[in-house]
Amino acid sequence: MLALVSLVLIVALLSIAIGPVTIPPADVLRALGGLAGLPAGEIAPQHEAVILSIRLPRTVLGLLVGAGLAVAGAAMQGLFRNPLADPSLIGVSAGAALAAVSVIVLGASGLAGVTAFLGPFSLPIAAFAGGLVTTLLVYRLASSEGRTSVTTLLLAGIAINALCGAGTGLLTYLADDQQLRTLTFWSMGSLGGATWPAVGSAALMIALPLLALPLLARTLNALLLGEAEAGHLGIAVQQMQRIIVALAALAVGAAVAVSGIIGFVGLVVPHLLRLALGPDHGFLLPGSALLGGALLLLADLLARTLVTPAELPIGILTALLGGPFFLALLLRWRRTAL
Amino acid sequence: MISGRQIQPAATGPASVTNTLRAVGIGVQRGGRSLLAEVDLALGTGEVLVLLGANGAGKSTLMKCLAGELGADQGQVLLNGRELHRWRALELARRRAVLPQASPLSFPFTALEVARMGRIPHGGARASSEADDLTIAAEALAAAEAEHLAERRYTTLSGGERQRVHLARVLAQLWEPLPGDEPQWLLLDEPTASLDLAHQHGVLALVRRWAHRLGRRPVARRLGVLVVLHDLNLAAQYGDRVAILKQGRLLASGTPAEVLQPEQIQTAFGLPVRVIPHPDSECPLIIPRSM
Repeated sequence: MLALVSLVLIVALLSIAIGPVTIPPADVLRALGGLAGLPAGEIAPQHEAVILSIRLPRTVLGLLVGAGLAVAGAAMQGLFRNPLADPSLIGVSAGAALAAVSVIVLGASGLAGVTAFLGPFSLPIAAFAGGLVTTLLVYRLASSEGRTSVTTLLLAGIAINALCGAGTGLLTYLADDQQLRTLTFWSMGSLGGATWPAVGSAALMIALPLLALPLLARTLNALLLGEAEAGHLGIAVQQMQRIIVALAALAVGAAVAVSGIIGFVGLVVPHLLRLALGPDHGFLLPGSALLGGALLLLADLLARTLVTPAELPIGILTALLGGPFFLALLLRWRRTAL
Repeated sequence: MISGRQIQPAATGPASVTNTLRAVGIGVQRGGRSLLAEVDLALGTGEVLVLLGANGAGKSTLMKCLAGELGADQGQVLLNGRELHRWRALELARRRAVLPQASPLSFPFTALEVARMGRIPHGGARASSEADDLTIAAEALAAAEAEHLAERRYTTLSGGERQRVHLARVLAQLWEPLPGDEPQWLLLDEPTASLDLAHQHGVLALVRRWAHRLGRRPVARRLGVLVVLHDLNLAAQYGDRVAILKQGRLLASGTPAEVLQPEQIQTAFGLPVRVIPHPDSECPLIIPRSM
């Protein structure tokens, strides 16, 4: 766990230091120290501006989104009793994105009442609602009598991804130029929209699942035994499942609202941790938060620097890395269970 | 609720009611089929009650009703004198543990971690309870003859080894007597199904010792054990009482010698048998005749 914390700190430092303008790590530390009220040393003003208004919000957002997606992935895998459940694979991210895109495109017309009512939170709340509905739908489809079918789970994910993709496509077709620009960023995922207000709304919504899900570690462990077995251990199964679904959807919805669809983080991170630390959610959930944040920042760093001055959408990068990883997992599963 | 009170036999005093796990006239229908009908069965402390019956006779359904996993359509189930659904889930979990036929667990926990999950209903915030839980989990593994598996990954274990690890889990769940020595209940659904011969006897001898208060641990407790079995001779050897289900109805219940009679077995299982006295003990020995 200590190693993970150090990893997060190092990657965060690199993420703030590296970019079109390279800032020496010492300056980064000085600027951060100044923020914390320590006596700030001499630091170039343009460096300070770059750090405070560009790099720092982006870094914080990356940590939040990565942590949220990874913890949501770990929790969903526990809920579905299946290590292949990833928010993007089973359609939860697509559902959240569809709802968010609806708000972007129809916010001024069809959904004007909704956006007027919810104000700046309409996007994250819509994404949360979309994520919640799809999670519940997938869960209903894939579970019967306390058992979850992997095949149905993944097939339901395909169907929901296709449906939501069609919906998003239709809305894209209806969108105007300005909206199209925003939508492109949705479909591929990016941390480019990092501003302090965006960070603030994401932090509000992701903090709750990040703090609450680790408290449910024992419940998630028990659920892995099976629903009946968890019930015999004194767990209020249905109630707990609803809470876990809501918390996971909240994390995914908030992440999708600020950064679009970034796939595979929720799959790869918990899997790596299970290999290293075992499946106990007591370690898995906090570990996923840390490693998820670090990995997403690292991916963002690559996305920003590989093709400078342009920027790769980070969703493409995580899919390039996560896709083969998922295929390898599937092959292993085919040999053992399924 | 009122009808439930009327059903209760007048002869049963309040003292004995609070010391039983009791099904009173329960019936279950699913999809137009009757799975259980008018089943009255009481499990007392200090005894091992074996539930027998052909496939589909309703053994697992009855077990699920007694465990509170399935609500009965008619009748009621009373645990320590209180209706099952009136117990809070956590209170219930400290009073009865259920060993399923198989668990869908497919994550690579160590056997020790699986056994420790039995301590979940006892979880407190105290740091000391964590250490206690680990000790109990380890001792429960030893009791279930799975000590050597403690650090093995569950996913690498054989069916019989997994079953013993789950047995350790449910033993850990009931490891300590309740305050006031309130009765506790252990429900085992075919615990011997995937075990080798020696372990079949080992497991049943263990739960019998627990029920009869003969083990080194737990010191003194009141425990009743219900076991679903297929092997009639195991039932005869380890059951204090035996109950036979046929097509959802209770065909017979009583001591092994009373119940395990050739006609009874022929009726329940459709199998001709001879029953002779066991050469070494007092229980009957059942020998199937070729059909």
